[in-house]
Amino acid sequence: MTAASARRPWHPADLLFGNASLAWLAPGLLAVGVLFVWPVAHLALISLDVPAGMASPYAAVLSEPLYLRVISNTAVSALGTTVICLLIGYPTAYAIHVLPAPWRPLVLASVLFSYAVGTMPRAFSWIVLLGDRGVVNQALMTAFDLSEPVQMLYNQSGVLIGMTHVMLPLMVLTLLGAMARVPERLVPAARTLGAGPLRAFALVFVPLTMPGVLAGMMMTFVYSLGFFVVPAVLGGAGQTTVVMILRDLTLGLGRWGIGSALSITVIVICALGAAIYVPLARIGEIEEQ
Amino acid sequence: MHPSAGDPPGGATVEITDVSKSYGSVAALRNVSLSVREGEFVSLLGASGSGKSTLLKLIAGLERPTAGRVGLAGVDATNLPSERRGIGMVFQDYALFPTMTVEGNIAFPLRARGIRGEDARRRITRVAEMLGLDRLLDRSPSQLSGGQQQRVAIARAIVFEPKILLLDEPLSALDKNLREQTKGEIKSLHHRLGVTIVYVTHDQSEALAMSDRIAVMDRGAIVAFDTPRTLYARPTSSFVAQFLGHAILLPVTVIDRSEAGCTVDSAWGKLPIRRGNVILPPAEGIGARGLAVLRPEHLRVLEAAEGEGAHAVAATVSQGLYNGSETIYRATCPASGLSLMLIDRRPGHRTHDAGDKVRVAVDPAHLVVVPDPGRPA
Repeated sequence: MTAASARRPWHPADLLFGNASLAWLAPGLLAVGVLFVWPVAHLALISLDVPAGMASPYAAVLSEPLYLRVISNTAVSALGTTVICLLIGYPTAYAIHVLPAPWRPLVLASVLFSYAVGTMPRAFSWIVLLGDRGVVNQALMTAFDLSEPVQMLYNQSGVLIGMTHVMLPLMVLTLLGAMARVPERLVPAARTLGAGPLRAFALVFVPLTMPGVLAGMMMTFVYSLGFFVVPAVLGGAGQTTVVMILRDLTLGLGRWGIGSALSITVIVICALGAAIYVPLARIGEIEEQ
Repeated sequence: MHPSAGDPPGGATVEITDVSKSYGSVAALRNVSLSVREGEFVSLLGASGSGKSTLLKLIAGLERPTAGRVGLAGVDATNLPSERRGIGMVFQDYALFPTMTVEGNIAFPLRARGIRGEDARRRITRVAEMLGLDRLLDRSPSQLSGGQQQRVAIARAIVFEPKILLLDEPLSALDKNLREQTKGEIKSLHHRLGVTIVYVTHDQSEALAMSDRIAVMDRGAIVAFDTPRTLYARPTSSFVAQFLGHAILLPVTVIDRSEAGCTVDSAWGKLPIRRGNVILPPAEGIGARGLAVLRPEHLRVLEAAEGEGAHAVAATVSQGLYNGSETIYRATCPASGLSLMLIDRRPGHRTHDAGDKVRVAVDPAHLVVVPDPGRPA
């Protein structure tokens, strides 16, 4: 018995407030275990359960160009969405950040409102706007006397427009959080030291928001990998994503073995990506800043 | 534009003329004027909310005045942005850039002015040596102690050799020992650079120790502006008297006023006040009421052999604090209802204990009589 345990008998409250306060993590661990670890482990088992004489479904996944193209489609759309969200989101977040106090909640509420509208109505609203007989095309055809509508949907641009629309609020909110943590005095201090407004912004403000930029990019990218509705509604055959193929393989064709193998492959790729990106972006140090 | 690194930069004037600043309906500054000479060390001294920090922000260009003019080095700078005012500023929380090293922080104002390469390196080395930072240049600000961070903030503010240096309560985040040491360092830096310094503080001992002149601020106005010695020895109001040093205010009534000065009546009997020490409007004659400013060093405990003594009252010692070089007594004086503070610096002097009945004498030669704000004549 150690001196510490001799001093005081163990008390059930230690579970919550003593060294065993890991108990606070129990609900989270339980949820992750039941809702994520268990189903994924189940998938992995299915993908490895190969009947005698059959090739492993992993061989099919890695040798079939269709699956690799679908994975690369998904990554291209997600990456494009991430970059566009950053390019639009940073100026937007900065504009909200520097708004006078009475206006900020109003603009923030409008950002959140678009977040609250579901993905489905947002995807279909673009058909009304950008479709062949949509508002934009009718205006363009009248204005420039075009004989044919401009193809804006059912291709990569349609998917990027729709996904950016869905993901932008998340990027803006993440960046706003990072901007709010920039100490108020640093930009004025840079000005007193001789930096003009642009230089102070680029050399002092932007570097301090980099943790938010990296976190926002990661969240947007990962979230975008799992899109189904937007590419299904606004994309063409070339924008078929992993999720769409998975749905067809499992729910449509009942080919669970190859579906599971494809899922696990994507999970492994994501895990490898995170293992490189997270230490590189120092996401763990965000709180310290 | 930029003097070579070997020359002391010298100082420039600061000329504040009829400046007011309001935030909505709240007036932070009312019609303030202040004239700082080249190379002068001026403190803005006041409690929080007195307007001292607002005035500094107006000089730095971090705020614009609602009315009035800010002149720097003889130029109207009222509407100039901060970066074109040629000022260096040290913020209360230092405002170091956390994404840059110590060297990056010090180099920042040079980069902003397009000074690079060998010239920049020479200037950085020079201030780093001056402030004892030469071994810390590759550290991140978060790895430094408070005192080191403060020296980086000063180095960053002087490396481009501004002619005006603004300091916003730079010592308030340091512990007491470091504060005393840094006081001396800032003073000798001022001497060496010859730069004009405007120093904001709420600590009267900092202002007294370092300043050429002190502007005492109260509710958005400068209520006194003079040298530390004059402000301490001849305060112009009871507010100034109490803000600088310890002061006991003794109510008095003028019973005679002449060319030589005046005589006042008080709980301590009749006291002669020298002419220069009567800070009452000239129109106020016999019967005028005021407050005599008693400083601890004007009071002393009489020895038994000295008998009743002149200008003395009975008092009871309530506390004696011995700290080596001096003993600080607190005593209550029933006749005046005042609580007194006395400082006894005579080594080996007889000590007094709490409860001792003593007689406390005042030396009227240094007494100053100021108007009584609560009891106008």
